[in-house]
Amino acid sequence: MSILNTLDTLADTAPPQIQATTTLQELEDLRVQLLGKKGQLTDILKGMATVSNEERPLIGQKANHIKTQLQDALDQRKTQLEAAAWESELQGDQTDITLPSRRTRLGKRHPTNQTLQDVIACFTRLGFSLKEGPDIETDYYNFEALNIPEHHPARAMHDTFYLNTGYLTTGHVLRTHTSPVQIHEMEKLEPGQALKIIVPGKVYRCDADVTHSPCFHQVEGLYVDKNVSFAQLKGTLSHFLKEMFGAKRQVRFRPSYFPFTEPSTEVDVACFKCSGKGCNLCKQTGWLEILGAGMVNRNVFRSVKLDPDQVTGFAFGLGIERIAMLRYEINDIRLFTENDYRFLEQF
Amino acid sequence: MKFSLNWIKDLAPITLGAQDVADKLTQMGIEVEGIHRCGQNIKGIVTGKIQAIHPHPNADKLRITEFFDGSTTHQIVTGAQNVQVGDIVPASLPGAVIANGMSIKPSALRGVDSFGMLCSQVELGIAEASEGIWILPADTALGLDVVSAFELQDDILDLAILPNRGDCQSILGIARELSPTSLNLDPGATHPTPLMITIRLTRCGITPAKTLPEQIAQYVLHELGQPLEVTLTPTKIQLSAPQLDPIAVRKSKPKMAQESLVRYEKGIDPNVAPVALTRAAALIAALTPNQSIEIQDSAPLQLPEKWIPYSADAINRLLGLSLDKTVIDGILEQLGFTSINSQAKVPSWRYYDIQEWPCLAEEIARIHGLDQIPTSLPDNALGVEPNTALYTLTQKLEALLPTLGATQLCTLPMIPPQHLQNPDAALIIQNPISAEESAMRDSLLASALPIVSHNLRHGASYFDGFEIAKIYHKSGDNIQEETQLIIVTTSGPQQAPYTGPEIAQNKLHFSHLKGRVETLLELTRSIQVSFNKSEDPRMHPVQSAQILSGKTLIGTLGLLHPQTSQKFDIDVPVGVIILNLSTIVTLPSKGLKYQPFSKFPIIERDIALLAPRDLSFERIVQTLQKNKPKLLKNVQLFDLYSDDKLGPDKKSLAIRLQYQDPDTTLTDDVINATHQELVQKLTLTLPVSIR
Repeated sequence: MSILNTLDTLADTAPPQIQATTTLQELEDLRVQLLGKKGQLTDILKGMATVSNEERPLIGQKANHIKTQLQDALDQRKTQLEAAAWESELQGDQTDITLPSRRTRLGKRHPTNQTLQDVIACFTRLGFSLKEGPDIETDYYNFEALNIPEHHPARAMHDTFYLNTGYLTTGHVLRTHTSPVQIHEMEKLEPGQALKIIVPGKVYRCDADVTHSPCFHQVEGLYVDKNVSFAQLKGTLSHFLKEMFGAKRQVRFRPSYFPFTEPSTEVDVACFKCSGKGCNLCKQTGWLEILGAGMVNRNVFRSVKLDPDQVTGFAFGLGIERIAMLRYEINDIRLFTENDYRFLEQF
Repeated sequence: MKFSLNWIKDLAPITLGAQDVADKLTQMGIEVEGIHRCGQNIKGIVTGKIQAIHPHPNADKLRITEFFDGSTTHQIVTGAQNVQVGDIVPASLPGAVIANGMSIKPSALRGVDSFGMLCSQVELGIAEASEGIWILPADTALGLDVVSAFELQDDILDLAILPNRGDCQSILGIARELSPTSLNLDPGATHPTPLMITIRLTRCGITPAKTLPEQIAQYVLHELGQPLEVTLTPTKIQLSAPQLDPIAVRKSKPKMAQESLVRYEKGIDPNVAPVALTRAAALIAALTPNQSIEIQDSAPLQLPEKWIPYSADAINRLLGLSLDKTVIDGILEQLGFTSINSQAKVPSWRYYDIQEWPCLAEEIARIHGLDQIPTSLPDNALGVEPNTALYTLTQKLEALLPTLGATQLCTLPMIPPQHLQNPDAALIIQNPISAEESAMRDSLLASALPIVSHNLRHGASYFDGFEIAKIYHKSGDNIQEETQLIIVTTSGPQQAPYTGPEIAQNKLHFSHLKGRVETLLELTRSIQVSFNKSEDPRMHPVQSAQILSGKTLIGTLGLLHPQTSQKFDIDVPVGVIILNLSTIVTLPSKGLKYQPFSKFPIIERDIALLAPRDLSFERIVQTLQKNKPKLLKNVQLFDLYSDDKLGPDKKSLAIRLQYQDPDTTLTDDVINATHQELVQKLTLTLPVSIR
């Protein structure tokens, strides 16, 4: 048989052999047998010495072609056998994917805090800086400096807790609103300086039932500058309310009264439950009262030694629990301070 | 405060329905708390006389009456006990509809036919409660159509009158808001009957007084807002309309009817007193013709004219509007102001409320319409100052803690005084809602433990909660408020949902709590802390520690003393971490600086030590580090045990030492020599031996 014929036979017989291997070791053995230094191809080419000069390049070409072919077939089989080996190994790790998971238990944020953070986040993006103030206030900061002198009828709107502070001379109260922080922060102002703050905090009212807690959270906002207008107050609050309750939510400003602002307004949004048709959530009015606001009263500026002809400002305040109650349809404010897991884990 | 729309219409020419009136008032700043439509479908009620009463044969509590309506006698069974023969009462006959919408049909009550129902004020929609059938005055005509004769159809507006609008605390005030320029103030124009007076008063939530002159005074008070004093003598009725200074009334709180007091406190139009006296006198004269009336003059309040300087420009700038001055002046005139040369004279009924030009701006805003004011954003779009450090830290902790498994709590800051840590420095509420909430907490533990207890008693299998809040106490002459973080937990780091071969039992241990503290403090990287034995009697005597930064105490951690838990009805171990955030944010911060790291390999050597049980790991680490500070990179404990074979007061520690040179690759020779030397020093310095 000529060398060419032998090569042809190898080209025909080797591929089925390669395909027939079942393990990587078998395949490796076959590779050595076919293409190794002492393998069949080398063996065949030993006969090259006897062939003519014309035939030699033809044989060389063919041998190279067959070598490449076989190498490809070996590689391909290797890939197949490797995949099969992994497959059989991994099949041993059987698991029931419907078993309960083992996960990191995530704690929950308190719904009051979540609502508070949402409110703060909106205003801090609008450029309000966060400030805080004391819960325990003097009568001056809680009332007088805010244009609520002693015996003012507006004091009846605040059911105040008084503190027994013993030897301390000044009478102290638990703040009934976050507005005293307005005074603390404005007292620090240099003439000509602007102030743009948001103040979250606990406030206290001597009142407890399904919708009243003796301690709840408010967020106060204050912007003091030259030429602050009611239009800016409307713009700021509309932006906030649309971000909080949806861009299409209708917003309504109603005239109202607070001693520390003039003009004053209360701001409503269309009821989330009935969208204005009237339901039990909005007490059939179609509107939900969300916040109180107004232009800083000139007497408030006077009490912090700012010239009311030089500065104007707006202020607003909102109750966080009220918003959380509306948002999540919570019907009893006491759930917030009871801190029952069955309540908290829903948020 | 309740207002009858019919009554308002006596004073102002209004054609709007109740809902439209409510909407208009809302837009003008008077909050409508409710609209009560009285007698909407009511019909067929007539007056009649009870001619006879017979006992019911089958029921002790029922009686059979003969009701004569002027032409026919009807048999009506009633359960009421207050009717007597001769009384004139209203009744709904078959075909009638009463206030709650019920139709009246002939029926049999315990076997006796009844053709209608005797009515109380409730059935007629006048009052919300009554004590029996409404006995009408003896001179009431029989067969009257009660619906029209007694004004049974009316709309009652429940309005919240804010403290600045004393002028709106009367029918007149609301009428003026709705129709400022065409009020009907002629007292003779409308003369209610005595019955209508009682009906209107009742509907407006006022209990009619005993005598008619007093009822008239009540009526005039509600109508015009001026309290009247009525003195009845055998010969005459004395009337006076005292005028009082609001500030003086607020201070002295004189004894008088609440309805009068609230009006005096908010201020009454000084010009209304003579009108009210004339009105009351005219009504008394018309309704009690044989009485003589004596009007006693009261000292009128001497109030100077009040002129408010204003400029249209300032008002426009404050509101963000650009109204023409004539529009502004027009609104003011319409509201009763007199405007001359940028000065507005305040009308008498707004005397106490209007103080400065922004009050005028408020009037412009509410009459022009708040919805007509454009919206814009502040010119100063940027924040003026950064947020406080305390808030920034709080925010980070609040975001991190839930990912560690802790749920956020929000507790009341008021606690029972017996849970105070230091009662001498405590702040006590003078007027608490209950003793349970009468002291301001001086520790977050006092608020958190009842929550743990509540949850465990209500079926929670574990508790893991945190809160960032304030504690309060006196400190010298000051009141101190400090923000703290508390974590209360009954579980190890993670609770396994089910056990399996690879889940080891996880018992709550001090080391878990310490791990949490270290994780949290990574948020404030620049703070180096150490742990010292705790002296806090509330805590476990051994498994608890103080957290110090330098010499500053910044917190406490550990297991709670079981006696503390028991006070709160908790019978499982509770882990507690308290960090004083107010203190932490005041610690000097070095700021983060990049440290070049060694690129050379780390070589590890392990040692097994036999040590006395009370030798702290910290001492071993310190001894090692002190002797080879440069090359010793890290000391890791990887096994710790003690058993009987080791001896009762011994423990075994397996420790891995990591060596690394910042500048070169360490050779085996160097490492071996260093390690040997180090181990030798350790055994010489401490009572330990190599196993």
